[in-house]
Amino acid sequence: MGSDLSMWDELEALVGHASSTQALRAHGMHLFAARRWRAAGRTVPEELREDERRAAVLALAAPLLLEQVRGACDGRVMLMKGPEVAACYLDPSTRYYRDLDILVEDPRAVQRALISCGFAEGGRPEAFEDIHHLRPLVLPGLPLIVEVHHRPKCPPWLRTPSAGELMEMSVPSATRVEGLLAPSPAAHALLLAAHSWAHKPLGRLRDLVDVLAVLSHAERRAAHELARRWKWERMWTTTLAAADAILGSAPRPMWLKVWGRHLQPLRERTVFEDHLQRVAAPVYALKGGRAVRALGASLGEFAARYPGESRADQFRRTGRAVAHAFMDESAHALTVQAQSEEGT
Amino acid sequence: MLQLRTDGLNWRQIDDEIVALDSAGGAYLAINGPGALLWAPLVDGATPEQLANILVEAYGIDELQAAADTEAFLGSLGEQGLLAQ
Repeated sequence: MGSDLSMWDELEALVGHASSTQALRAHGMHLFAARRWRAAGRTVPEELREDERRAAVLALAAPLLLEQVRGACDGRVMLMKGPEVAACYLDPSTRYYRDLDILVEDPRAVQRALISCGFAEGGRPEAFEDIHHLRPLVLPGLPLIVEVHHRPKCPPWLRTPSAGELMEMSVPSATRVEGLLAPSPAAHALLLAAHSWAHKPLGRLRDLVDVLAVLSHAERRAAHELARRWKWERMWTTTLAAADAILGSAPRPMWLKVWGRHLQPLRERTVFEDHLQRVAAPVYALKGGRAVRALGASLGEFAARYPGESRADQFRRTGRAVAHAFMDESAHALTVQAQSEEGT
Repeated sequence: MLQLRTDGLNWRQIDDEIVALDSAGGAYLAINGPGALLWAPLVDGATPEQLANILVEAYGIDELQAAADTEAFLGSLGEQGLLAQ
């Protein structure tokens, strides 16, 4: 256990070959790159310095907000991701986060308690009706968002452990906020891997770094045992094989040469790669029959309309995705934003 | 003796810059150059003369200029309520 220093050296080499600052941002590695460049005597671009300032302010606000949250709630409160993961980094200031993910057993009561203490809800209510957390909360004057979860975010094809189950294997939070809990490092590493598969399967280098950084504080055997118990073995071993190959000296599996082409050298995924990898994720993360069933559901979800989206909007969105298939994701997002602002 | 507030004022150094969060006032500050140089002594407490001497040594400017710069910086901190009463 303990931080594997060689991982950080590998990471330095990877960011050194990144195709652009935008690619570093897309992979969540821009703060790490800035810090290493400065240490090497290189000039840090102003846009990254601005990112560093913003991240520093958020990191300064985090313990203040967490103390407010802990003080406002009865019952057990668990912090996932964000500062809890940052504490496992060789340099915590290089792990960026924008929100605080709180897991509790009675989220509605906690949400009410926080609102009564001055927190304000944001976002459209309908967007948070059937997802893993309630409407985001902000405390006026502090720049971080708090999200109260009733369960961690997992892909639909994995069984999600309950808040109670995770609480039973909790440890004190690394943030040192009194009374605040965190998932055990083994559970946390698994949750981070699952979260990554739910959003961008093996899409972002930071997700792999997070998993290995947290896992370095656990026994690997304990994580494997938990993955077996949760029936997450395939997802876990696939994640770990990718992380160990990209950030360590493990052999590179054949599938990673296709799936992880955007990781070495570090570049943004294209729109086509992003869609393909999200749809095909169950094939790599589940076994046999479960993979086939989940793939069917994944394809159905891909073809479905977003909530509230008209048929015309769905066609327009799909058409843009096809037209931009080989465009970087960020360029695609900017184009979509510009077009929607123009009303096209 | 002048000193930065200790309650609700949190900060960290990034390279040659200070990034501070004043949670009481809900303000964020980025301070670089001479201001960043004077920040650490002000955390512990220092007189205007001591601060001006730091500028003289660091930048090779004359004492009058250093005293004026120090006064301007302290005035700015005071306006933002960052100095202890």
